[in-house]
Order: sequence, then structure tokens, then C-alpha cells
Amino acid sequence: MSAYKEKVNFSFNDVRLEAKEGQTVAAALYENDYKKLGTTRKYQRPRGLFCATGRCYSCLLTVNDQNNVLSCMTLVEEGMSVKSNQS
Amino acid sequence: MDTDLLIIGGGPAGLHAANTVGQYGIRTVIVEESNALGGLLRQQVHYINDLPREFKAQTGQNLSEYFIGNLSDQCTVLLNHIFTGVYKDGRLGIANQETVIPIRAKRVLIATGAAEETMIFPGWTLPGVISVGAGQILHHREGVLPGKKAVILGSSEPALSLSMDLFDKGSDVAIVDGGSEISCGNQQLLDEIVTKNIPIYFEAFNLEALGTDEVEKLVFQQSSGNEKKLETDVVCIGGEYSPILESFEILDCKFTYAEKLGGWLPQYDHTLKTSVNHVFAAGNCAGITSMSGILLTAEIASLNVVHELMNEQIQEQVESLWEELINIEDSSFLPSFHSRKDIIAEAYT
Amino acid sequence: MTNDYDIIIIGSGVIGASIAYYLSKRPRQNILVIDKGFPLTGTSGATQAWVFAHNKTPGSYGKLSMLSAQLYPSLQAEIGDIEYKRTGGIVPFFDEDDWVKAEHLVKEQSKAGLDVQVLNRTQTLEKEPKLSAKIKGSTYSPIDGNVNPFLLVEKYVRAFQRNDVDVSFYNAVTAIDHSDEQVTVTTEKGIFSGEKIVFAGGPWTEHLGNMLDVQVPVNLVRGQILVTEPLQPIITHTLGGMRQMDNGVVLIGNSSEKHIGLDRRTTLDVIQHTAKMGIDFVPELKKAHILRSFAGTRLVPYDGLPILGTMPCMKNVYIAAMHSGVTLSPLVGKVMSELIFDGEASIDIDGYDIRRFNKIKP
Ligand SMILES: Cc1cc2nc3c(=O)[nH]c(=O)nc-3n(C[C@H](O)[C@H](O)[C@H](O)COP(=O)(O)OP(=O)(O)OC[C@H]3O[C@@H](n4cnc5c(N)ncnc54)[C@H](O)[C@@H]3O)c2cc1C
Ligand SMILES: Cc1cc2nc3c(=O)[nH]c(=O)nc-3n(C[C@H](O)[C@H](O)[C@H](O)COP(=O)(O)OP(=O)(O)OC[C@H]3O[C@@H](n4cnc5c(N)ncnc54)[C@H](O)[C@@H]3O)c2cc1C
Ligand code: FES
Repeated sequence: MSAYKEKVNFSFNDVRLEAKEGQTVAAALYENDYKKLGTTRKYQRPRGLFCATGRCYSCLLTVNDQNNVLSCMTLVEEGMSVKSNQS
Repeated sequence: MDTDLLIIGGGPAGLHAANTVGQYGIRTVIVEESNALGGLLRQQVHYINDLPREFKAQTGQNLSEYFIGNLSDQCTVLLNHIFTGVYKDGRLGIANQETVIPIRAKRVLIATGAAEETMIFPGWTLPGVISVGAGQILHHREGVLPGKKAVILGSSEPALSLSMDLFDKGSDVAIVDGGSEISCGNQQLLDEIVTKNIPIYFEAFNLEALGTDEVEKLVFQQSSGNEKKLETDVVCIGGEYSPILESFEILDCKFTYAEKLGGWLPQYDHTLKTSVNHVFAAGNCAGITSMSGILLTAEIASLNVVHELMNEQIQEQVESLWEELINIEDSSFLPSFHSRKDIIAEAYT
Repeated sequence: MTNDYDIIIIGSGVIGASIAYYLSKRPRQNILVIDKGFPLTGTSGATQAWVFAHNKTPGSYGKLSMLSAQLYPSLQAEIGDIEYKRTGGIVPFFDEDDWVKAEHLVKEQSKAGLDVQVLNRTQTLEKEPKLSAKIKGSTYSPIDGNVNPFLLVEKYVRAFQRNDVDVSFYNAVTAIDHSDEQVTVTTEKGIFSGEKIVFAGGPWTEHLGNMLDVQVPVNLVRGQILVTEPLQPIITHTLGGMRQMDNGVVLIGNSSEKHIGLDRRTTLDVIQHTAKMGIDFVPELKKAHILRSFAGTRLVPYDGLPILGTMPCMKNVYIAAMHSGVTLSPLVGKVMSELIFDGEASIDIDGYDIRRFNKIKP
């Protein structure tokens, strides 16, 4: 089914990537082989998508300059700038 | 904003309830925290056989589309909105990223579903360790293959079903379970797993996920004393489900402990009404797990809303729905059926 | 566990726990701490936890708060890290008329030896640059700070358990029988007797008093608090209205609602009002996500001052009930242990005896 979808351009930590229209940010990054989305602030441990339903807060990212966005609940948009959370 | 019925949660329970009351011209608002309606149905590509009489067997995605197509024009859908609190005068606060909308509702139906629990072991927080539900979402909704060397933890039906799907896409799959036998009751699925030679490791303990920035190996002990090490790029944890209860808490509903239905649950009576007079419950969040049970409870609750708001006679319909529910659960969900009777009995005393 | 104790403490919030801790440092005695929940289920688990002296009623009470704040560094050295920080406290004001009040406060507090200063806008913004430019000025004291209440109570409990104090948690006291020699405490899990007992029941103190037919003259006042997401350091002082924790979350709240009883729900009315207050103080908070809100029940004696001492006509039943219990906990633990063990406190606390209310009308 994915083959018919439009492509959307976005960036992660300033790297330009492609996603399919209708994908969430977390899934698009997963598909682009970015499993690690950020690190925890106290112990600097890697974190990535876990529940995909907006309940575990493991996938927080900075999206268009807004901190702590649930990337598994946010759809990718053309030109979106996505970054690991500043910690 | 004013409405007759506010439905919290746009999964199968919430949607079916909206459609049921819609037939009577009742105004509804559905509040859904994600960006689409359908809830768990959105990643259900398999045929659901276990549906109430009024539906033919179909995939979850189809069923979801059917429900959405049938919503009446009396129904307002608020996507990306969350129920966050109540005002002193009883209005409910529905929040989006910008603002909080106060809504006065004559009745409230909570249909918030259930969340997966995890298993805790060293390394479970590594990227690439995800829940089985997340695996299904990636695969069936997002069009992303979760991994080429998948380890599935647990042998519940969703875990086995995901194992099959990944295997069919060409991934290596191994199933690791702490118990000594399969917990899934779906024989057909089991037979397929056996036919396809998907390895299952039972009685695994001391699990540990290893890797630097993402998971690379899953290590565990077997009862034989051997240590087993599996190379992997995705570990899917098949945990239990627990009802999502925040909305009941905010509305001050009473709770009861029902071990067999998943722990703490809202109290409700045979009309699916909670301890708070204008608040009803249906579906997963009420401890109902079968798809037919989810839809039937939604229908029972919404018919009772119709009765209270419009004075319609719904007695016979409700009785036959209960009968159907009891018949279904009597054959395949006996333990949950008995605990539910206990909840209802408790609510009566 | 025997059922006979020298001292039984009812309540293991910050007050009961500190009394138990200071008592446990004394030579061998049998002490039991009972709580109907676990140590943070009461108000001590739902608080801002400022250690704040400078805006307390000047005189004896302000001084009491200051003395308590002074004990915190040594307490932290004894029981372990409780994230106590003497940040300095700032109470901003937005109204020209408040200058007079501020000057008056400074004068009164200095009489009791409390260092409070009035700062103008520039001086305030120098200390706390993210505060709104709309403020007119503030009062400031270097003695104020804050603590992590979860760590505080946990460390008290661990310390007194190391000193052999027994605990019985998840066990409610249901009845109390008193004679001059002995007090019998009936609980859900059995009957205990003690030579002395201590009421440290927080907002449930009135209920405990009723068990002995004594009316404890207190009101219950609900407070609601907002918890933001973890943010970059944004404020460094304890502000009258908010504080930032070590993990980056900002706790915002200064509401008080009477006649609600023990209802600990939050309401969106107060939450939205609190959020607005937060943004009025620190405009940059506008961007912050709110993670959650919670409410707690303050116990406030009719005259606002702590109740410390024995119960009327009972030499062996002690009471410690107050608001701002986090601020006061080290001092209250210390003086109550002196009163109970030595028969006399090292500072004068006669003014806090419950018998003072015989003269006061609510
Ligand atoms: C004095 C005091 C009293 C308190 N009383 C209460 C109380 O009564 N009730 C109460 O509920 N809390 C209260 N709190 C807040 C307190 O922080 C929590 O109760 C608890 O201690 C935090 O535990 P946590 O494990 O969730 O950790 P935290 O580290 O606080 O975790 C917050 C979680 O949210 C996630 N998160 C981070 N950013 C975001 C974001 N932008 N959006 C969503 N999620 C995010 C984090 O990843 C993390 O998992 C109090 C705090 C203090 C200091
Ligand atoms: C919103 C808010 C903000 C606050 N901010 C501050 C602040 O910044 N600084 C400050 O100093 N103070 C503050 N306070 C006040 C402070 O939190 C309290 O004064 C303090 O926590 C009280 O401690 P306590 O031990 O007396 O009561 P609690 O912590 O309530 O403990 C009482 C204990 O007694 C137990 N108990 C009661 N009845 C029974 C029974 N029958 N049997 C067995 N056990 C029983 C309860 O379970 C409970 O654990 C605030 C309060 C609120 C609500
Ligand atoms: S992955 Fe759990 S909230 Fe996004």
C-alpha cells in the first residue's frame, strides 16, 4: 500500500530525509534507520519509539522548535525540522 | 459548547456508541487524542470472526471505515484533543495544543481503551525494544517493517500474530516465553507457527537486551541451564493490557479490583453506568476484552443513554444484547464473565 | 514486634517522620510509627516544599521558620541527600501600594533577626532575569530555599528505621483510650499500647482529636499545583508562587480554597488561573507543557500558627499540627523530641500550646 503514497521531505538533526505522507515522525525516522531518537537527561541513555500510542513518552523530540513533542502522535509534514530534544 | 453525549475515545467502543445514539438524533461529540479515529482497529488487518450478530466477519480496518462512514451529522469529531479535567460547574475541559474547550454534556461515555504493559529487564529501554502493539502499528499502519531479525517476547495472540506477519515478510523470527506453554488460545495461529518452524524458547529467564545505541542481542537463560544469545534488530514485548483509567479518576468514579479483568476497574452496573450518575463506561477500559464484548457493551451503554435522554423503551433490545454477550463469554471468556458479574453485584450492594 | 511501646506516633508525614527521627537519636526506647497509608500519602506527598521563612508572620513564628531553615544543612549531612538548596526567596509584587507593606515586613522581620530586604525592579531582575518586567519590586531573603519532599520523608524514615523504630503502615488508627499511665491505640491490624502518643495526622488531626473528645481548632484548605515538563534552568530562586526542581520541572501554585474538606481533586478553573499566574510571573513559561496537576490539603489552625505541645488534660498525649510543615519539620522534630524525652523544649514554645484557643473564637 505504501508504494502509492506521496513523498514528504523533512530533516532530522539537520539531515534531509524522506517520509511517506500520513506517516508519524517516529515511524518515518524508524524507516530511515534512526531508532535512537534522543538521550535521557540524567544518565544520557538512548531512547526511541516504544509504545507508538502516545503513552510512554519515550519518543519525545523537538519539532519545528517546539520541545518535547510526542513524535509517535505527530504526522510528518513537508519541510518539518525535527531534532533530538535538547537535554 | 453543549452536547447530549460526550464520548471519550474514538475506538470501536466509542464509534459504535456514537452510531447507536446517532440513530435517535442524539447530539454527540467524540474526543480522540490521536490524529485519526479507529483506535486499535487501525492496525487490524486480520479477519475478526468474533463479532456480534449484526456484523459479518471482516478486518478491523474495514470495520473502522464502516463505523466512520456511518457517523451522523449530529456527531462532532475532535481529533488531537484530550479530556484533561473538569471545571467547578461540571463542564468538561477538552484540550488541544492551543486551548481548552469547555463542554457541557448531559451524559459522558468513557471508552478510552487499554494500554500495553511492559516487561522489565536490563536493556528494555534500548531503542529497538518496542511493544508488540508498536510492532503492529509500524507494520500495518505505517508501512514500516519493524525488523529483519525479530525476537517476540511472550506467546499471547497479538504476539503470535505479529510473529506470523513478520515471518511472512521474510524476517527471521524467534519467540521467547517465560512460561512453559503457549498462552494464545487461537489454534489456527498456533498450527501456522508450528508449520512454519518458527522457533519458540520456553521457560526463558534472566532476559537482557544488549546494544550500544540500539538493541543488538537478546540474551537469556534456559531451564536446562544453557545461556542463549539471539542476534536481533527488534525485540517486541508482548505484555498484558491494562485499562486506561485517567478519565474515570478525573470524573471521580469509584473503582473496584477485579484480578481476572486486569486489575483496577471502574465500578459499573448492568446499564454500564459508573458510580457517577451521568457517566458510563464501555469497551477495554471497562475490562472487556473480546471484540464482540467491546461492541455489545458500547451498544448497551448507549441504549441506556437513549433511554435516559429520550425516554425510549429499550428494555428488550438491551436484554437481548446481554444475552448475546453472556452466550459469547460463556463459551470462550468464562473467567472474565464471572468477574464481571462480581463487579456488577458489587455495584448493586 | 511487641504491642507495648514507650512512644507511639500516629502519622508518618514529614512531621511524624521528623519527630520519630529526632526521638530515635535518644537512648534506647521502643517507638512505633503508625500510618494509615504510606509516608507520602498525606499532604507531604502533595506540596511545593519550599523552606520559606521571610513571609511568615513576623515575630516568634517568623523566627521559628528561620531556625528550622538553619537546621536543614546539618540535617542533610545526617540523613543524606534531600536536594535541599538555600536558593534565596523572592516574593515579587506588581502594585505600587505594596512598597509600604514590603518596608513594614522588612522592619518587623529584622526585629526577630530575619534578614529580609526590599528590592526594586532592577535589583530583582538582576537576581532573577526571567521574571516579568511588569513587577514593581520584591521582598527577598537569603535564608529561603526548597527541598525535595519525597527524598526528605524517605530519608527520615530510613534513618529512624536504622535506629530501630518499628513501623506499621497501611494501618489506620480507629480508636484511642487514654489514662494517665497508658494510652491504648486500636488499629485495623491490632491493639497497641504506649506510655506516650503523638498526633501527627496532618489534615486528619481533627479526626484523631475526636477520638479523645477534643476539638482541634483547624480549617482545611486545598491547594492546587501545576507540574511543567522538565525545562532548561529558568529560575534559580524560590519564588512566592513557583520553584524549579533539580530535574527541571517547575511547580507552580499559590491557590487556597476553603470548605472543600479532604477532596484532593483539581479543578480546571484553578489550574487555568494558576497557569496565568505563572506566565504573569515568568512570561517565558508560556511555551512550557504542563505534565500534570495535583492538589493537597493544608491544615490551618484558626490563628494560622502551629499547634505544638500536649493535649488538654492529658500529659501523655502530644500534638504537632501545622501548615508549612516542610519548612518547620527539622525544628518541630527537634523540639517535640525534647518535650517528649526531656519534658522541656530548648526554645520557648508555650505560645503554640493548643490551650490558647480557649480564648479565641473561630
Ligand atoms: C514537592 C513536590 C510535590 C509533588 N507532588 C506531586 C503529587 O502529589 N502528585 C503528582 O502527580 N506529582 C507530584 N509531584 C511531581 C513529581 O515530579 C511526581 O510525582 C513524581 O515524583 C515524578 O515521577 P516520574 O517518575 O514520573 O518522574 P519525572 O522525571 O518527573 O517524569 C516525568 C515523565 O514525563 C516525561 N516527560 C518529559 N517531558 C515531557 C513532556 N514534555 N510531556 C510529557 N511527558 C514528558 C518524562 O520522560 C518522564 O517520564 C510533586 C513534585 C514535588 C517536587
Ligand atoms: C499545595 C500545597 C503546597 C504546600 N507548600 C508548602 C511549602 O512550600 N512549604 C511548606 O513548608 N509547606 C507547604 N505545604 C504544607 C505542608 O506540605 C504540610 O504542612 C506538611 O506536609 C504536613 O505534614 P504532616 O506530616 O503534618 O501531614 P501529612 O503529610 O498529611 O501526614 C499525616 C499522616 O498521618 C496519617 N494519618 C492520618 N490519620 C491517621 C489515622 N487515623 N491512622 C493512621 N495514620 C493516620 C496520614 O496517612 C498521613 O500520612 C503545602 C501544602 C499544600 C497542600
Ligand atoms: S512511543 Fe510511546 S509515547 Fe511515543
